[in-house]
Amino acid sequence: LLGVCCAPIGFIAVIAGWTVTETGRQPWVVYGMLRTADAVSPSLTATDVAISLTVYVLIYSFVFGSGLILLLRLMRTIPDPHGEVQIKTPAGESDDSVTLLGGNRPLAAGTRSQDPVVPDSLVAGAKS
Amino acid sequence: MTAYFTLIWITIIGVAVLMYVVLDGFDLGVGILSRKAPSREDRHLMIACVSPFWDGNETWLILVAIGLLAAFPLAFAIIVPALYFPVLLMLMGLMFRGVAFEYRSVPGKHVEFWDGAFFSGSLVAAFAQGIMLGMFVEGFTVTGREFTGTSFDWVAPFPLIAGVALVFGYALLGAGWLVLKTEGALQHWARECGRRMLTFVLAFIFIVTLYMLIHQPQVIGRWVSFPHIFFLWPIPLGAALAAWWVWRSFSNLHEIQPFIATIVLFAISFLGLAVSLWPNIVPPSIDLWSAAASPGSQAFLLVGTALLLPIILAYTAWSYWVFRGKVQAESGYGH
Repeated sequence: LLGVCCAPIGFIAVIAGWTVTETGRQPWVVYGMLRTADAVSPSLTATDVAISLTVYVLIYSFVFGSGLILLLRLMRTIPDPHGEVQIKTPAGESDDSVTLLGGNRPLAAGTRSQDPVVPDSLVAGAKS
Repeated sequence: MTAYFTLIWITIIGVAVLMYVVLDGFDLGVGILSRKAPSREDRHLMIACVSPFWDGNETWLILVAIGLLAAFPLAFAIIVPALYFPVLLMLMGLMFRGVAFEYRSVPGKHVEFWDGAFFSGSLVAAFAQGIMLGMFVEGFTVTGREFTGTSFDWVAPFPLIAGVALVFGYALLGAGWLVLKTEGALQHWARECGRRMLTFVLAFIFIVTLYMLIHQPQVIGRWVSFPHIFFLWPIPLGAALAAWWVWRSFSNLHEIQPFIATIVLFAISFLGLAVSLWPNIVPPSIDLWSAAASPGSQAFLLVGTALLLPIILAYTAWSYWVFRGKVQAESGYGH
């Protein structure tokens, strides 16, 4: 349990360290050479920055959130000695949408890699 | 000697832009075409065609950006703020399609969603890059050494048209790549796509050329004046021949030629643009030499680049060699 609670500590340390360097350097952007106020792009308005920051926050939350959900889903899968995997799905939910892609990519660990992506008939047709 | 550093640097950046456009162009193009894939299995195959290559292709984008920052800091300081939102759009698009490669391979019901993200991310990234190209051709509002337009200058007819144009251009490259990497029905489908995309691409090349000739009188002067015309006439002729070659190779049974011919068409069009804009690095007002970093900085960076470029080229070539040949149905992502 302690280990689980400690999981975010690394992230907090990195972000905190970054915040300290960036705020600590103010009002300089290049220490002793260029002030932050003089380095700002003249065309950039506060609205522009607000828009882009909002977009980044939304997209990052979505992408990392989805990644986390998918990782947790992979952790629920039980690998068995024959290489087949069983996926726990809530009762009543069919499991026919399991992807047939496999491989050794980070997130592909739980997939059934030996299943062909395309039915044999189609492969044979493609080769003729 | 120092006078050559600027020329060497613009050559490196120019080649890197072309490498990026051609290489990431084909994988973005496959992403754009994936929407219309004949079946789910075909879509799996199409994505498998680009999955070993796409991330390496983006190396060139970074080289372009950092090369510009290091060797032509003034150009970087003007162009990047001007492209603020197109760059944002491009990064969002590249992010979505980048994670889609991984996320779509996790079992579950979300695969279709991430296939959609793969398509729309590719589309948005290509569109945003076209907008950048359009803004570059149209020119930036500059006063002294500063960009004095707004962050929404890209919302204008020409950049938006160029955005759509590049979507079709990348789709054409993608179709050429698919002909090279697939077989049978999917390859046949890619040939048809390629011919359709070529029609659009030629229409857009025509529009862009016409626009430049009308709105930028100095461009006509560049092309038809004596003695330029003696050196430049092969460029339009070459473009026409390349277009004909692309059409021919998509129509007959060649497997490698459609992709090669499309690259040649892109390279010639790129050369044509470079001739029209030369020697400006921030059209219409700032030329290469006034935007250049000091010779010392350029030389220092040139040493590192000279060491790194052959390595990048070598591993790129090697990865394409390792993953040569047709994509097989069994070889899913990551094999």
